[in-house]
Amino acid sequence: MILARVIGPVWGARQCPALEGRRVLEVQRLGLGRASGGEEIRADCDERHLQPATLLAVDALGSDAGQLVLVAVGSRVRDLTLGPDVPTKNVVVAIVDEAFLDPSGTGGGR
Amino acid sequence: MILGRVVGQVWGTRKHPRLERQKMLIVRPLCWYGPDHPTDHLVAVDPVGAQVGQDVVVCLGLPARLALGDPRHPVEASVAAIVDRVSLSRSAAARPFFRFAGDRRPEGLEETP
Repeated sequence: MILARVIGPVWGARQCPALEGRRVLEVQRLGLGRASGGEEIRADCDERHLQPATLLAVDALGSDAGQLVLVAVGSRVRDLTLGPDVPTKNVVVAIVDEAFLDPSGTGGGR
Repeated sequence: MILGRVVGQVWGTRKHPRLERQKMLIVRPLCWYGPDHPTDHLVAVDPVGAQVGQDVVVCLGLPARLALGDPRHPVEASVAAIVDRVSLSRSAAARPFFRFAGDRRPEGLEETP
């Protein structure tokens, strides 16, 4: 699983039947490389904590734009949460209230 | 399985029912096998009780679910062990399939020739 921030929902005028009624979100992955440690990472975290690329994830929990979420990647997790017919590999499995980074764990001298 | 260091913890109230009462840790991988992973962190469910700052062994995929005792958990990373000591032979580290995440060599790594 990875941490990501929700940018917002994505709608399609025409979509495959298995996606009807599903919420598709654009999320931005968190990059911890520039976190200095001892930090609380909140949903309104600084842009420097985010990686430039985004990905799309299907959300069954109803998360809103700006929230931090936990995205599981893989077809097996998709089968277990949404069902095998939904064409996605990225699934939102938790909405994050709080995340903490500790300086002693930053490793590799960063 | 990969080697990683616990750098933080995640809390959330709204989550998949099977993630209830599970401790979730942020792990920074120390090394990857095969092609490098596109992310510099993983969130892994921890049934072992690891603390921030400790090195851990993280299972990925189906073994991660089996390590939690049920293959129906919607999880693809879980902590399988807490590491006391790592010893790496120099020849193994030189093999092309083994690489340190971000080409950073972790501290406290014992090397044997």
